[in-house]
Amino acid sequence: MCGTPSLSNMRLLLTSVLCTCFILSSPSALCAHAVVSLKDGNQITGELSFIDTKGNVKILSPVSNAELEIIHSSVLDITFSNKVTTSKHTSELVHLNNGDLLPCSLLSLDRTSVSLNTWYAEDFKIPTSTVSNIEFHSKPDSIIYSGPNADDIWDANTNWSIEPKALSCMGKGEISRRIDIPQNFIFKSTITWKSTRPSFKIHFCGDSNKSENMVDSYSLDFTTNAIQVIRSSKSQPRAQIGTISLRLRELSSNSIDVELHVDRRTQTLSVKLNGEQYGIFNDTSFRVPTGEFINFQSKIPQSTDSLTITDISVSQWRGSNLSSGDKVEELDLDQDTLFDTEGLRFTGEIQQLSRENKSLNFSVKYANKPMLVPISRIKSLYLSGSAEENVQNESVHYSISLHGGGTLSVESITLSSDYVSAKHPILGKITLTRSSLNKITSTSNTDE
Amino acid sequence: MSNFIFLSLITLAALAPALVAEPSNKISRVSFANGDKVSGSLVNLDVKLLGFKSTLFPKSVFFNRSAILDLELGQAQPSIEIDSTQADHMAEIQLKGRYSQEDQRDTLRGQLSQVADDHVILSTWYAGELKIQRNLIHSIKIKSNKTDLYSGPNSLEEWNQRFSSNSWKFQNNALISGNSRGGISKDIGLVNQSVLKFKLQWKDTIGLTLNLFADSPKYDKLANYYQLSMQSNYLQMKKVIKDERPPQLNRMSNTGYIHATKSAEYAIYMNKQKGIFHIFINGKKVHTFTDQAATPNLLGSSIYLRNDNGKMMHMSNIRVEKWNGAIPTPEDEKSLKQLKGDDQRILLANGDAVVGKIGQISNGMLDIKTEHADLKLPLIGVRDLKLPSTEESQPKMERNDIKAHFKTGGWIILNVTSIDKGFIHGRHQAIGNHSFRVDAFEQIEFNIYNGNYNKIRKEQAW
Repeated sequence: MCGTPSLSNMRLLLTSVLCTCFILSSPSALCAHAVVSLKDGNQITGELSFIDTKGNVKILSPVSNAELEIIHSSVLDITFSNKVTTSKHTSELVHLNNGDLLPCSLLSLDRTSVSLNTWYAEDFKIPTSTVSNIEFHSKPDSIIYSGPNADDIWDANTNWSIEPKALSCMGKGEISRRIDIPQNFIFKSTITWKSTRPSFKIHFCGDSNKSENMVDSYSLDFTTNAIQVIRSSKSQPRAQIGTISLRLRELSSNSIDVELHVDRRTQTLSVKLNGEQYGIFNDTSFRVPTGEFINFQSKIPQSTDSLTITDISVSQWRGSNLSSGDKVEELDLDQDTLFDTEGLRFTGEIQQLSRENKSLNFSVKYANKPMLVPISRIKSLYLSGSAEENVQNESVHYSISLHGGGTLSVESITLSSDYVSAKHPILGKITLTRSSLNKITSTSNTDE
Repeated sequence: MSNFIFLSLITLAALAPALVAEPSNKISRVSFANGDKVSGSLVNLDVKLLGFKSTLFPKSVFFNRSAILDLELGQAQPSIEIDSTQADHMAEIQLKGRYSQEDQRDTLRGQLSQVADDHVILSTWYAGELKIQRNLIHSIKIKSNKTDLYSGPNSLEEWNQRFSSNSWKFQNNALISGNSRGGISKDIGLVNQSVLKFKLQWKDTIGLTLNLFADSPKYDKLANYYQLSMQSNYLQMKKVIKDERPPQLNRMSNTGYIHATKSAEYAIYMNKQKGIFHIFINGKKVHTFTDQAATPNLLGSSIYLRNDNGKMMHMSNIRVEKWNGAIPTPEDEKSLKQLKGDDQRILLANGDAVVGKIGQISNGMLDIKTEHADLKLPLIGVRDLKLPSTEESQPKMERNDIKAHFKTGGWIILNVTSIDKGFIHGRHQAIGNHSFRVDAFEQIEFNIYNGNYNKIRKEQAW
């Protein structure tokens, strides 16, 4: 009987499948998609329609036949999943005294006020005393390669297969391709395995598509017990420049996000794994590898086990060199401090920034007249008196995270179909474009 | 419809003596196919909507039944005093496999009241008397409640944890071990002749070590015990006696289970006095360990579950029973099959098998008319009832079917029309329209024939 389902059963199945298709497809059909994380591990997904002045949230969810109203005290955070298309690259990042980050373009800066233009809200003019520091050239890094893609050409052996958006290898094998790698670059990828003994290697800046022929390269060697940062060169075929004590089998999932910053100018590498910084490693060899090959080498012993590479990206890295970070603990808090892109530090007093002249007038104590520093040479500015003016506003209830970076701490927030209105302790009443929101966190509920 | 109401009333009337209060509605949680979750309490359910009350919302809300993956019901104990152990026996009825799958069987537990030509009546605390169609019954197993020493797991708290390690957690009536090593222990009350049964599932490979007849449930006082190491392909047993080097038991290779299934049923029949351990995997004896120099006086009644190698394992349906000394043999089943006659086949606890017609069941005694004599057997002396095959039949898939998992293990599929006032109202294909207490269940799965939903369920399984 079971082998020959009746017509009514077939109809039931068909109806059930159609219903499911509808249910599963309906959330993605909604445009202003948001995930509301609630207390005790609860969650509601849907189209956020309203946040009232008390913080109560109204959401249209496919799980319910009516709009759901969620009590404000239950809400931990709201994550918006709409892809932002209007975000603009901003050249500066202003750090406010309360810890907020404002991506912006500086319009003007002098002793009394800072004017800034933002893509997500109106222009602001705020007292200079409310600004802690300003980072310049915070432009997003341009992407050189993003893949894998269906039409990509990879040089691989038979164990590798190029699937939609993934490279996959059964057992051992290697796959490589040439990428026009810039001098300073950021490599990102996710590696997933189905194996009890995961082991693999990623070569960068290699001078050959095959690892056995590669003489000059950097590589990350993921072994069972540790991850090694390797510099291979003619004189030293396998010089270990760093070790990361991380065991793949002790990770909570069979997957790792790799992010590597390579500064070939200063021969330094920074490794981030699963979002966590694991160190900066110096290549002390005489030359820097100049090859353009990236090579993934699976060393998984069992041919039935697999290794999968997804979300590969290589981008030009405009950031400053890794080894000369701002030494902020040595700042003279009574004076302004300027760091330039070469890592040099100047202590003095900001006079005026001029967009027209693309320069900043900066007085230094022993100079006869203010220095005229080209904006393109400024890395960061630390403003005097920021410690005294530090604002810790207890009435702040929400933290807004913006698409593309930036955070705002606000006292209240209301959201309607067209706009988001919030009260900021420094900026005052602000109106944000709805599409700029990445996440709203209720600080009063999450602090409990 | 009127028929249904009538039957429901009969059911409720049957339940009435047992009911001192409406089943309480504890914190439950609805999980949706899109990943959403909401905790609160169940208000009601109809064919389209689930009414739910939660502190997250200012008023009751209604969820689309078609969006629900499952409803976890509060883990509180039933609000009425139900002591099924007061009954002399527990009958477990398994129905014919759904969709031709051997492991997809509805399971109902209760006390056997009647075995008739076309139906069996099971008396239950959660649904009163259930009249079950014979042609949908696969098997009836009976065991004595008086032999029960432990049935669980019921919580993590009932086990001692070493250094409060997080190596084991309790979830959905199962103990689950993780990547970190560690053990849990309990004085489970092992007697001289005991049988320990459990279902073991594993993610990768098996790495379970059991301390049996341990003299203390406290790690710092543990001195003497048998240690059974269960690895992927072998079993190994040794005896540990403090400050002594006792003669060792042998090691056994090739346990012979099919690892691809990542699941096996274990039964360990133990005799402390004689130092004998019969190990059964999936109903087959794989080895007998014998301690030639048994030291029963030095041992105790505790067991330890040790995850020494940080393996991910899932232990459920742990039962410890007194053992009468007779070990099941394949001949039992074989002789049962070889018996001639069309009547019911009855396998007794001691391995004997008879064919006869089951008559009245009263005061724990079973009347059996055989070709040669009329017998009166205690129900607890019966292990298995094989009913003569009737017309081939199996449950069918129907819209609104839900899968309700009992707190005590097993599940049934019901065509639910509503849930209210603590009862699930619906139709079971072997029972007809009936009402079941909600608090008998720990979880209800919705949209059970939806492939996408089942895929999510599979991904979310421990």
